[in-house]
Amino acid sequence: MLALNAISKRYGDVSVVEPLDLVIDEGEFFCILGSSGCGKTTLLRMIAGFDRPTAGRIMLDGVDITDVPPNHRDVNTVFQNYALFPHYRVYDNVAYGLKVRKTPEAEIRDRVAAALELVGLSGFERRMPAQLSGGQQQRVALARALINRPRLLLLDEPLSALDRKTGEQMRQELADLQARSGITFVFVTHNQAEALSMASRVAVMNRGVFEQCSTPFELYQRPQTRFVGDFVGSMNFFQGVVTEVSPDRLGVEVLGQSRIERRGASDLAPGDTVVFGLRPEQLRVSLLAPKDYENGFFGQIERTLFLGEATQLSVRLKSGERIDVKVPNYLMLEDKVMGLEQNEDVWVVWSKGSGVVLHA
Amino acid sequence: MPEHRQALLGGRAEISILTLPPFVWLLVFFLVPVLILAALSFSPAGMTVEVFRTPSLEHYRQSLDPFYLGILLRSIGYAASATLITLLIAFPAAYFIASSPPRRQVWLLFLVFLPLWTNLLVRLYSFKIILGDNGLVNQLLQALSIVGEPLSLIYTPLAVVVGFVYWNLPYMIPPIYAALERMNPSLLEASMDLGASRAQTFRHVIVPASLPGVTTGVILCFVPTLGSFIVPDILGGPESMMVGNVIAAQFGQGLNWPFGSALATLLTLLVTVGVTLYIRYGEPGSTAAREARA
Ligand SMILES: Nc1ncnc2c1ncn2[C@@H]1O[C@H](COP(=O)(O)OP(=O)(O)OP(=O)(O)O)[C@@H](O)[C@H]1O
Ligand SMILES: [Mg+2]
Repeated sequence: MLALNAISKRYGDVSVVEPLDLVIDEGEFFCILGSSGCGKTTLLRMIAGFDRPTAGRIMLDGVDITDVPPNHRDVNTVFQNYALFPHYRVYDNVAYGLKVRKTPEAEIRDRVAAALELVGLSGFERRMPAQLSGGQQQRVALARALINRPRLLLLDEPLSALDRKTGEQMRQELADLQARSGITFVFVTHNQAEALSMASRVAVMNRGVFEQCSTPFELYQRPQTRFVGDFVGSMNFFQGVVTEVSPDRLGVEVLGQSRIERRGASDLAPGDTVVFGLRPEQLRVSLLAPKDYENGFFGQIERTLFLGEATQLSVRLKSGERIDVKVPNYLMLEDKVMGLEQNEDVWVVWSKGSGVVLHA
Repeated sequence: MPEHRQALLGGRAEISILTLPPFVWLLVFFLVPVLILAALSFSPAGMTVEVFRTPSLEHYRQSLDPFYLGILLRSIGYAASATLITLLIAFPAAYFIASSPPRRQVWLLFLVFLPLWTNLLVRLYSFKIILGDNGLVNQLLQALSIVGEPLSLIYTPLAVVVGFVYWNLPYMIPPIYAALERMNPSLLEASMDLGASRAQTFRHVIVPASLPGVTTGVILCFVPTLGSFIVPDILGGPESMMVGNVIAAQFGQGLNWPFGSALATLLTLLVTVGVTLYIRYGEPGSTAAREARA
């Protein structure tokens, strides 16, 4: 439905968006996830029509819209700062798109009422934007965009200004709203929890490049680059060397001693250097040596960090590397994980199926 | 003042201490003379204490004579047309400045204020040179063979209005600029995004955002223009006399201070009532207008 063909943006010598391709399907909830300054807003502005791409074409429903001005694109935006019209009441803000298209007054009234109902703001028609909380302003911005029934709705970090609870509640509502309206969403965020919980697909953006574009599950479970593994969730990384490659098995030697078996990138050959990644929650600590279906490192607890729902242990390995382990708090004894003390020797253990092997 | 701003500034006591000096200043140099003037306007003759024994409305009756009412109406006409033309020129200028890069804004504003560095009298005399029969404008028009005979521009109502517009521009541009500069530029994008054309964006977003500045500018131009006597004096002819000229004459050659005071008091009342009504009802962004629309 939306296709970006080798789209790129430069400001003078600075390349903000590298040439990238993307196809978004009808009815998708597509997330673009990336840290501050990676070019998310720039990409969205090119789709909305506020910025011209330096090169490349934008297609909407098979029509080239690269040179179409924003007011003639069937695309609406929820801005990062909401951009509500401060001199209009909520009603006139929401009605704006219909009014400028000369919609009959009676129809405007009905559709505004429906749009405000959809975002749970019935009864707020006569308020001025300055009289609304951040969350309410955000809903007005959403209603103002949705009322035009665009082919594509662009949302630029709409939840980032809300407190965590309100933000989480809005995630649920946004996902529902998208499913009910059937409008294709392109949602930009730097918050991985938002991306993972709402999106049908996520593209991770880093310095103007898409590092990976896949379902949230794939993204988390099978990151394809070190950046993605680290940015989405967190990950322990180790240098390794491939020792064995067979159709169903990949042997990697890590830290000169352990032999780790793991399925992974299949274009590897013995002798290749790789990066081996393990998420802290894929690990457990134990006083016993690993079983045969497990791998393990031996080390000493250096630091414990209470996170609320879990405790993070930093274990210093004999080789000098540090590895973070996240232990769920149902294993707490008093305020200690399994009664473990600092400086105690432990095994850090994981199932042979866990972990990812990445190109170095 | 909204409550939150008052809280930021501190309690009532602090505010009153801070506002005391300007308040005293206004009292001594504005309110007292106005009251003296008002008292004088009831004096039967000359500047005497008679006014407290036998106050007279004679000068007010004289003020309402059709001759003077005609001059008052003409003054309002001049002030209104000059203010309107000033607004039409100032708005695009202010918009241009507000949408320039920040560094250029400073320079453009500097240029707007530049005329204020020279005395108004000198500047108005330069208009005589520009608009005179052998002035710049006529020479140009003749050189281009647009007119044969020189046009009589100076000492006409046209010259007066041109003078007023020139005088008023540095007072109209800055408040409109300030209002436009405060506007969040993403509002323009939001408007386009929602399907509005450039013209619709101008009407529905830019104009409403500029209204506080327009109100300020209109008042800053209309009020001094209405009472002005220098501009018609230098650039106008006998038929462009304004109420300010009449008042000035009573305090000058006419030596009829009570009559001048009566005219001045009426003018002050008119301006006060007019500005109040304008702020309350006239300006489209006013509270009353918004209530009425909703
Ligand atoms: N008009 C411009 N001129 C020059 N550089 C620009 C311009 N607009 C953006 N940039 C640069 O492009 C980069 C990407 O900006 P962009 O606003 O797209 O980031 P973002 O991913 O949306 O960040 P955030 O999460 O903070 O909103 C930034 O380094 C920014 O400085
Ligand atoms: Mg951004």
